[in-house]
Amino acid sequence: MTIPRYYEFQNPVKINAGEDALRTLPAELKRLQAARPAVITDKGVSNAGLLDHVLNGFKNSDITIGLVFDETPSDSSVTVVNRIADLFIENNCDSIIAVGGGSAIDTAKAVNIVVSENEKDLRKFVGADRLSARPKPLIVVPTTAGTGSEVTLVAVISDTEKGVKLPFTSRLLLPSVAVLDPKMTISLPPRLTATTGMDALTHAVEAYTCLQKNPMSDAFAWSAISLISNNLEKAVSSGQDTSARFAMANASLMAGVAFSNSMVGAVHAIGHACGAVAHVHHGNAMAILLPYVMKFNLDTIGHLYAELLLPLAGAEIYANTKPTLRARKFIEEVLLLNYRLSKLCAMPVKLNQAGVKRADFKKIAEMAVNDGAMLPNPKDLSESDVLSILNEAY
Amino acid sequence: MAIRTDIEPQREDLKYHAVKVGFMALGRALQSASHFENEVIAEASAWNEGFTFSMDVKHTGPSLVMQKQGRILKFLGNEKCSNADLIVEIQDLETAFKMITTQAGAHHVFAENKISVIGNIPDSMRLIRLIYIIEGYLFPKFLNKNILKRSPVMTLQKQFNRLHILTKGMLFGK
Repeated sequence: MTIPRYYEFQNPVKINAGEDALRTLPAELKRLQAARPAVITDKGVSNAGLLDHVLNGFKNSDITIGLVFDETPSDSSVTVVNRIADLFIENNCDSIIAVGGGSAIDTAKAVNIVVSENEKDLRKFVGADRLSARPKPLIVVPTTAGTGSEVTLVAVISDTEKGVKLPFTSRLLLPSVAVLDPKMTISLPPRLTATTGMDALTHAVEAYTCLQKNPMSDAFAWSAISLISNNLEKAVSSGQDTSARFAMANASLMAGVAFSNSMVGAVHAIGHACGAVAHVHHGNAMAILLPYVMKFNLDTIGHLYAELLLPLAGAEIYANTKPTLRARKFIEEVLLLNYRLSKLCAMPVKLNQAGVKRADFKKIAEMAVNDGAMLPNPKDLSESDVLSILNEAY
Repeated sequence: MAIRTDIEPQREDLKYHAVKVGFMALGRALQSASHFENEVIAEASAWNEGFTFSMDVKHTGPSLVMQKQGRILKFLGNEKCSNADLIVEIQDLETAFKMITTQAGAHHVFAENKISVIGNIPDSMRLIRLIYIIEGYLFPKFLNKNILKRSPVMTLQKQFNRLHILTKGMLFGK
């Protein structure tokens, strides 16, 4: 392991994980000196009865829920954020509980920007390190196992007027507490379990191999890959397997800690563009692109992929593979995992199956090279490089 | 050790001036290349007339301020421009010094969290690509290996461009 000449690492998020973790919500709010939280979630969560689990956690406490907003769309916008912020203020809330996947969590982070900075226009804070006000306490209860948003410093919100995605990054966006309760991911459908799981795998692989990698993020990435390898297929095939579900929730969180401190790379840059241009589900884009981007990066960071064969494929395969072939074997194992998942839940494994058209390629390539995630990728990618990767993944 | 109070921060004047000169060279080279270098022209064409960017060294460090004027990227000087459309902040003078002396590339500095961006991310990616293109001309291959992910292929045309930038470009920005 090479230790960089300088690196930074921060993860101040308290993690409450395990059976009945939701019961700790009142105590956590008290500790954070909050008494009137706003719950931000979506219809899928409330219809699946998951919101009830959260509200039940407050039984016999002296905490009043100031607001429940369950209309967060899958692609949240500045308008939605401003609406919730107004409701937060009208209802005298003093803290936020986000319950859901990436969209609900990112929305909650963005609402926190507006209410803490006391500023109407969220757009003023686009970019990195633009926040200065102390944020309101934010507790996150993830209901998917993939985004890792419960421990990341990033939020992405759509500006529907301009048709662009606005990224916000700041240490002040890190939640106060992440609550992992196995019953919260149990109802996630198989295909979503597979794609969000592959999103987590991509976070871990890119965190371990990109330029900002460091020994701390490596440790989290390594453990995340091992957990994903042992549990993702079980969670997809037997959704009620609480142990596999809980392992995946932990893996997602660990991968989130890893990439929040070492960034992601070209898989995310191209995946973001596929999402923006062809509306490919983020996790699915990650699953499809990961092996092909790794092939591209192979001559630069093959030695790191070779190391990752051990947590992904296990000791026996690692030991039986010649050191010079381990990197390629790792890529092959990721491809095989994709195909096995596809068999289990019909997850698309090629871009054409995910609805991307060749006519979209040029626009995707143009967008991808301007994505911030390209910078930490160890190998430079031009538009023509992106086009080659897209062609191979089609 | 005696008790001391009100300790003023020291200044590294030599490094300050080295960075200032480095920024000036980069600015003039970029201005020059924006007249004729196809990749620079293509990148700059995405920016609207009057688009201004500033690469600042935080605290008391110098800046590199440039503006799109017509087809040209015009070097405006070394004074900070707080209302620029894009501000790339380098955390400290030492980091900026490493960058201009080819000890660290933009991606290395980013990886060490020593660069922050105020403005649009695609614009900052474009600016970084422009810097890479210019660095490809300013420095020989053995130094470029330290700071660029991919060294440029120096065709005959590019060799002429390099000669132009290192002479007329550096002196007059033409």
